[in-house]
Formats: sequence, C-alpha cells, structure tokens
Amino acid sequence: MADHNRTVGQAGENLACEYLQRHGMKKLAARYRTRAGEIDLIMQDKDAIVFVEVKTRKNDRFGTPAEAVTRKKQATISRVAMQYLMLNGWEDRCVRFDVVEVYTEKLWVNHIKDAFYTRFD
Amino acid sequence: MLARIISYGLIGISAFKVDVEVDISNGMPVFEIVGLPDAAVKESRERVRSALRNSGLRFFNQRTTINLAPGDVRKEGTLYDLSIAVGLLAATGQIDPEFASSFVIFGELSLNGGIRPVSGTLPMVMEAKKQGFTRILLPAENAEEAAYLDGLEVYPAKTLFEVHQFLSHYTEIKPMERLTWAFSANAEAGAVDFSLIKGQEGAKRALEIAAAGGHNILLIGPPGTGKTMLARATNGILPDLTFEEALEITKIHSVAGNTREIERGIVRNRPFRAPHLSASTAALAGGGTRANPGEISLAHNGVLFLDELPEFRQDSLEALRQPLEDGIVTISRANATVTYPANFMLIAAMNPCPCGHYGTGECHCTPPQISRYLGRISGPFLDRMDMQVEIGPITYDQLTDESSAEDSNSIRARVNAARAIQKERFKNEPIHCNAEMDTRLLRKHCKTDSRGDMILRQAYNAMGLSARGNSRILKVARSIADLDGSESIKAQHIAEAVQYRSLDRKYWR
Repeated sequence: MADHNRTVGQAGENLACEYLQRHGMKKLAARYRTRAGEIDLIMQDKDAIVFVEVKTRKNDRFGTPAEAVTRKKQATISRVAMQYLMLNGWEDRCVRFDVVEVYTEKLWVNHIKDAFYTRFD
Repeated sequence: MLARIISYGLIGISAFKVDVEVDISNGMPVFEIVGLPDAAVKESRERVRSALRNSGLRFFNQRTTINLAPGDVRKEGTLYDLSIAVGLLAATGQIDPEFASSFVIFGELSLNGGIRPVSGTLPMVMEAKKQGFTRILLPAENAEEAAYLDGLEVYPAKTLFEVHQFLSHYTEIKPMERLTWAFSANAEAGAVDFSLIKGQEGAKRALEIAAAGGHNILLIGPPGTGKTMLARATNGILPDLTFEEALEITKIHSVAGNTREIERGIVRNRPFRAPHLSASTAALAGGGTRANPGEISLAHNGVLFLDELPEFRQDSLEALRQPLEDGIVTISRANATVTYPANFMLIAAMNPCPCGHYGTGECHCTPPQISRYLGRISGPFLDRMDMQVEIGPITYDQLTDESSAEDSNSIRARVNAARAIQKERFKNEPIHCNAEMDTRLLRKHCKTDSRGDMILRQAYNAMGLSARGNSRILKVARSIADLDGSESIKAQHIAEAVQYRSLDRKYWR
C-alpha cells in the first residue's frame, strides 16, 4: 500500500510539472530536499520563484487534496523555501506558494496560485 | 513601495494619532502587522484582503509590512481596516498616494467591501481637528457625529470601491453639510411630570435646588410614597444641555458604542442612568479588560439614580466615593490606565429600615436590624450626599386633591435661570455648575453675611460637621441663592441648606 501511494504521488508530480510547463513556467527543481523537509516542485513563473506542493488523490471523497496541506506542512515548505532562496542568493526575488491538486480518477488538475503565506509556526 | 496614511486610535476617551505605514516589497510572501496590534487589528488582514478582492481591486501576495506608529502604544479594535486597505492601494499605485495621505482615515471593512461604523468617532475627530487636520474620511454611519464641528471637511464613505474611485480622482464624495445642534428637553424624553405627583412639596423644592446646582440628593421614606417617581420626574426638570456639555457626553457614549443614546450623531438630552441594584463595581465605576466606561461615566453631566441604595453591593458603593468627590474616575487595568469624566448628580432613594416604616409608626424591625440596614451606607458616603430629604407618607386628601401642582416646565424655567447665572459665573472655568466648585472657587463665590456665618458656625458645632460637609452646605446655599436671583448668600439661604443636612443625624445616630 505504501509503495502504491508513493507511485501515485510520483505520477501526480510528473503530471503537475508537465501542466505547469505547458502554462509557461520553467522547472528549477523537483523533489528538492534538505534537512528541514521536501518541496515537490520549484518553478519559475516570469520573475517569480514558485514553490509548488502537489497533492494527488483519486477523488475528493475524503476531502479535497488542497485541504491536506496543513499549517504544519505550510511551515515546512516555508522553511525549505527560505533555505533554497538563501543558497541561491535570491532573497529579494518575488516569491509565491502554489498548490496543485491532481485527481487521478478524472485525470484532472487544479492549480491554486498564491495558496498561502509564509508561515514559521 | 512605501505609503503612509494618517489614522487615529483611542485609549479610553483620549485619541492619539496613528501613522499607518505600508511597505510592499519582493521576497517571501508575508503579511505582518507590527506596532502592538491586538487580535482584532491582526485579523484585519483577512478583512482587508477579501474587501479589496470583492471590490474588484488588486491584492498582492507579496512581502507586506504594516507598521502602526507610534509602536509602543497598544492598538485596539477594527478601525484601522480602512486605513490599511487605503495604504495597500497607495503602495501598489492603485490610487493617488499624495491625495490619500491628506486625509485622516478610519473605518471597519466588511468582507464584501462595505464600510462599517466604528465607535469613538467624536473624540478622534476632535483630536484630529486640534492637531490641525481638516479632511476626514470615515464610515458614512459615523459622519453625523463629526459634522457638528466647524472647520472640518467630513467625507462619508459607504464602500471601499467608492473610496478607491474618490482617491483616484475618478469621482467625488460630497462632504457633509455642517449640522447645527439643537437641545431637546428631557421632558420630551418621557419623564414623569411633576404636576402628576401629589403633595411632597418639600421634596420637590429640594429636587429643584439639586437640579439647579447639580447636587447629590438622598431621599429617605417609607415604601410607596413616591421616591422613585420623584427621582424619575427630576429627569424632566434638569437644565438645558449646552453644546460643550453635549460634546463631553457624546464622547463617552461614542466610546462606549452606545448608539441608542446618540441620536443623529450627538447626545441631545442629559443622561439619566438607573442601574439595577445588582450592578457590579465594574459596571458602576467602569472596568472590564478594555477598561470600559461605567454607569457613573455614562451619567456624566446627567443623573445617576440608585434606587434602594442599601441593597447595592457595599464595595460598589464605596467605589463611587472618589468619583463623587473628584468628578473623574481612573480605571487601571493590566494593559491600560484610563481616566473618564464622571461628573454626575447622584439621586439615591432608600427606606429608613428593612420594613420601611421606621419613624412613621408601625415599624416591625428590631434596633439591630435597623442599624445593620443603615450601616450599609458608610459615613463617608453619606457625607457626600449634599442634601438629605425625608419623604413622608401622604394623606388621603392630598392624594385625591384635583387641583394640579406646578408642572415640570415651569420648574425647569427656574432651574434654567439659576444655571444661566452659574454659566456666567464659571465662564472662565472648566466647570458647569455649583456642585463642581473646588476650594478656590468656593472662597471666591460663596461669601455670606454675618448672620449666615453665625448659622453656619452653630450648625458646624452642633451637628459635628466635617470640613467637607461645611463646604457642601455652602455650595447648596449658593444654588438656593441663585434660584432666588440673589447675588450674595443670605442667612435664609444658609438656613435652608443646613436643614437639608440634618436628616442623617436622625437616622444614623
């Protein structure tokens, strides 16, 4: 089961990346991992650096995928994003946090721009 | 980009200027409000964002810092919503920033972009005027409160979109016409008319004096003799309100969010507050976490009526001692120390004993019961009652007497005449009536002749008066002389005033 979920997640991330690239974004990194945690996708949308959390579900029977991006998850993403920006010297760039929902049953992608603010608690 | 909008905040009824600085820059998207905001101010982020979006305006999810300067004073409430929203619009170039910063702006936002009223408009606008600002942009529902002051341009706003159009020079908001103030007599506010009260001529005379000079008065008598009715009728003979007094009252009621009292933006008649005897100290004197004004401040320049005085909690009554003396009350809480004006005329009513008939026959109470009952009113409290009047039972003939007594209007005419004298007397002082005189003014305005002095000396020695009791007698005598139209205080005025002090000796000894 665990293996199955990982495969589904991976497929969703690939799908999401393809979707974003088709909408004019450039891929900077995928599955970017530091000691603080992991970010699914890091994209560039014109000037802005976009950190993307991809959530894949069969359907929304157990809540929408975006709802699964909890405060704690947002804090983790914020911390990793901070590290990424500092390593690249990009602290002054325009930054955005997006969430991409992937529904595998209907094969449908929903892109939520500006999904949340930076959060450190 | 950086933008700066001028707003105002409140501590109690004193307002202070707040600079709302908005900085938007690149970087991780955060929305931070600094400058000691409370929870309501922090939540304005969500209201501002929704209000902007729902008004068809842009909200940028960028690194946004809002500073409410001065940074060391606590900011409370929802009134910064509008200035924050306007600051964001200015910082993102959606409106003319120069034009926007020429206004004093405050108001609460609703999610749909509507502008909701806030409390405390009058004190904020008055302070803004004092500090030299002339253009005020505020919620339309608060606009009338500001429209009584001259030299101001008051712009009423209903929606955020309207504000955006106005500050981008697309449309105009018409400034308010200045409103003029008109007094409405308390008699019209539904008080009982004195002509309906049979008998009790002595008490009516005492209440007339009390109303004329703003003196505290204690009514003692058996149940059912009309104490409560007399007290309520006094509402109708209170002197006409002046504009300055109306502003003072409105400030307090505005901060308390007491819109019921405020009609077309300003209080038009003297408050008459009659709290129930279960009232707590905080309800009477003021308090709560935000140090709200209590009944005594809401009764400022009006009447506080405490019916069944001994049944009030004793600590609540003792809390009134200091305000009764100073006319102000200072409330200290962890996050604020606030001073409210509390210059009220106290009318208290009570029975002489638990059964109510002591002194008029058929009393069933034992002496310890009576002394315990009367003992709830402390000596210092009693000392602050300028006048004490016994209300006796009325006879059947008095009750069924068809000839009508003097009505409230003619009594009020005399009270007004006496107040006019006081207004002239205190025109260079910050006070309104005789009861507010301090020692210096007492020396200056309460000189009596040698006979009057003799009566006072006798009373002082015979009744064991305190220094405070002595000066309170003089103040009452001043009011009696004013009602008489007499420049000096004559012996008969002193004699009458002394007589109103003698009752506590009868019961409390």
